[in-house]
Amino acid sequence: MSLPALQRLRPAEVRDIAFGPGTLCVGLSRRALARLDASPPARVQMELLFSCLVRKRLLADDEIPSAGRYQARIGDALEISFRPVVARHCDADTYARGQPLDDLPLAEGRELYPRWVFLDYHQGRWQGDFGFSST
Amino acid sequence: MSETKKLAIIATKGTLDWAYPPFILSSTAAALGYDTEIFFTFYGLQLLKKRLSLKVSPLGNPGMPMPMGMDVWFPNLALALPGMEAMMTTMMKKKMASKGVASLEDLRELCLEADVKFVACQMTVDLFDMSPSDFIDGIEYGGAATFFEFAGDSDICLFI
Repeated sequence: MSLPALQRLRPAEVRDIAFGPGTLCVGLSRRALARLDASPPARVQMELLFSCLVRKRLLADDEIPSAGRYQARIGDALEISFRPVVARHCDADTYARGQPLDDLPLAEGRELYPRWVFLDYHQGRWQGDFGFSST
Repeated sequence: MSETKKLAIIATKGTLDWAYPPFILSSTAAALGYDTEIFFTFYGLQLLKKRLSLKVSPLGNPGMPMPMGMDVWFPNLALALPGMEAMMTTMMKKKMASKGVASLEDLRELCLEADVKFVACQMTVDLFDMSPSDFIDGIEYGGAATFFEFAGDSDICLFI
């Protein structure tokens, strides 16, 4: 599977992995590929914040506050997870400072999960983008 | 009456800025378990097009923040110059992306994944000579009666 939204980011390699109730299309840059199986093991998390806007961000390693709703492994040393959250307060400043976020209590049968993620490893940290659109 | 809460939204605007509220509110509500339906009518039908090419206009929009304090010193009439709308649209999209705001395509997909029901106003589709082939898959066509069937039992009903 290769999604147009992911292809626009020109990944060096694309992999499909089982993720939650479906499949996640993973695009990797050359730097990400080179780093993929390096030690120590690393973690990235796709966070989706439902607030007055819906915001997404990719967190890495010690930025990750808690386990995600779904987890999977890309290569031997990289774990990826997805966490939908809600803010206790709708305030841009406190959000930027890393305010506490609560897990979004997803209703039964409402299985939201990203369809694609693009990962790069730059300046010593994992970076990237993810999305839900298949177009 | 069902225990499940219901949210009904009428989406009537077809600009970039006004496209966000229906999709944000409905995706959040649906994720929380609400039965959610959006009735798209008039310019709101633009939100259902396969290729979203929505724009934001600074004209007649004094609340729109602009870079470099342009909203204060830039003559209002100059906002009508060719290219201003495209420039403002590009700037707003870049601002949204830089702040990590999910794209409209993402939000629309989230809604569909969360079983938000999209209803396109059939009469408006006819009025504007639009074709169902212009729109994404998975939507229904109906009129006011179709909407009231759902909205009549809703807990929250919003006109956007």
